[in-house]
Amino acid sequence: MALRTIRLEGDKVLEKVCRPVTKMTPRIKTLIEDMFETMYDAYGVGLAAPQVGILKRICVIDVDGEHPFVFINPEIVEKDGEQTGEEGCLSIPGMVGLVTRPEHIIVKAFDENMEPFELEADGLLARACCHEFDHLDGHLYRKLAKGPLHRAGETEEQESPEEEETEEL
Amino acid sequence: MTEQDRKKKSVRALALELLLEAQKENRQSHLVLRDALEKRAWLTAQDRAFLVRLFEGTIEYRIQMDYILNQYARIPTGRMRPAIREILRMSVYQIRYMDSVPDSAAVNEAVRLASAKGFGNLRGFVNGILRSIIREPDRLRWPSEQDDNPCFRIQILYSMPEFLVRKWMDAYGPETAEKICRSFLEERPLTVRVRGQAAGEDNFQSRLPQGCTAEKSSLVPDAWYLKGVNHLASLPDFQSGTLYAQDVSSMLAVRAAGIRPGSRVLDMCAAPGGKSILAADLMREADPGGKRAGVVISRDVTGRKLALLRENRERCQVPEMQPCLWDATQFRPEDREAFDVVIADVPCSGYGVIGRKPDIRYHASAEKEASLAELQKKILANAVRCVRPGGTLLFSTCTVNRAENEDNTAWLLEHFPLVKKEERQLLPGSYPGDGFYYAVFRV
Repeated sequence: MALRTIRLEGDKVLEKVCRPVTKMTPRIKTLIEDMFETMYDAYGVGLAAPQVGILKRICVIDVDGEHPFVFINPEIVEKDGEQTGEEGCLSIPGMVGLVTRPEHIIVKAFDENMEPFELEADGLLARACCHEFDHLDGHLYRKLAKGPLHRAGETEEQESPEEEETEEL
Repeated sequence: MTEQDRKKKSVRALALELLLEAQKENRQSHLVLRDALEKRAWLTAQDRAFLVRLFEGTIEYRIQMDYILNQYARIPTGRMRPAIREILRMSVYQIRYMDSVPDSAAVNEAVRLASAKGFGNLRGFVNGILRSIIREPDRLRWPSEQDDNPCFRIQILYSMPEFLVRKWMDAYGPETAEKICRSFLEERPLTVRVRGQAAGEDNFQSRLPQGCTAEKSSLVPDAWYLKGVNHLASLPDFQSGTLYAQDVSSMLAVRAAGIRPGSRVLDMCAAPGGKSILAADLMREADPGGKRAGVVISRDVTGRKLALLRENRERCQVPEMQPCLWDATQFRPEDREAFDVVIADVPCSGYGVIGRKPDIRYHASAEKEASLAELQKKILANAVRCVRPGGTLLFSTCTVNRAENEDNTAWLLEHFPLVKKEERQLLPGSYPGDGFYYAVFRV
């Protein structure tokens, strides 16, 4: 296992459309382990392969420390509801922005053994899925954010210091 | 909560920080620990002992701890957040191996540490795993001699990576491989060489503080195994240079080089200086009249190492020794055939001292070995050129690895007109000392 370098906004690799994974290889297994390690090391809750420079449709997500997910070739097949909240990204460190996402989604994907699975997610997990899957098509959340991004911890109205910390996706 | 309880808590938090620090790239666990202890001289002897035991134990047993955790946790240790994984490892170590810690204390402290690290939401997760390890010991399945391959069994029982177990099984067979791995986990005495007038004494123990024991080595003259010595550097005999901490393997190697009075000796990678000091002592002892003064040029490659050499030269009062900053891969024309004995104790993978530097096992890799073997050949080729015709080359490492030992010896014999006089691979577990290799050549 090894830490990989997280690519930052401006790196062209983050703007490309990733290729689907056709079969599991030892190399991809190592990539997945490294992505988890890199994500945890950066205190993130999600990481997409292009963020470490690999143009493959792979994401890892763990929003609560107890449910680490690997998504390969993921697709959102249903979405409903709405949630609006602050989002961050390991490729745009230190910044957050207000983004509206579906509250509830159903995801189809393959796990690291290339077994298909379906997952229903809501709340932070749904937000994380939407955010990471966007990376696979070369989209960063800046385009979706309402208004400009701002520094994490500095909310626009400074009166609510107790606002929950934003998770970096 | 008593004052003592409070202290233990902060010691565990400190252990966790050091364990996480030690796993960062390019950090060595024994240096992380040494720096931490130096900065915290105020720790009581008891806290210090607790911290060292917990830190070193959790590192050396990491593979076994993960094996246990993976039988009880829903998610594999590789998918846990690093702080949570480390808290679990150190807690399982306390539960299994530290009798002084009640199970409940290990669990409660683990939960508290998880909260303190900002993972309050994972308190239940940590608590659940540790409680089930305590309550359902029957769920734990150990690898067995019948059902599992021996390599896997040795990996888990002695917490050794597959890469090393396989290497030693291939080289020495499963039984010896197991003996090697087991010996690293055993408590080892501190080996010292007794110098000067005290060397002849049969009862060295009487010179040590109460609670310490000393046993004379049967392998090498003047070598003693000490137990119960907490802080060697605080002993008067250490400060006066009467004691020098050195493994018997190093002593055997230097004694095999046939150093005679009045020799010119070059120690190419000398720090901290034990071999140079022994070489000088051997010359002096064999020349009671002091007529033929020898010289030992002790080189090493960094300022820090040079400082160590100077410090030990002063403390042990070795006038023959001349510390000098020099890179052993670089040849000095004036060194050509200039020495009676050249000692090339080359940088190596260090697998022989895993018992004292437990994290060496996790840094082992074929790539590192290949680059070390190349560096070793460079130094050895230089070493040969420095020996006068008829002189002696001593090549040594503190590792147990053919690619760095026997293969280099074969390479030397193939490329230079040398005669091999002696070759020895000392295996840990088969004698009371570190894993060590040496070969002696006549040039």
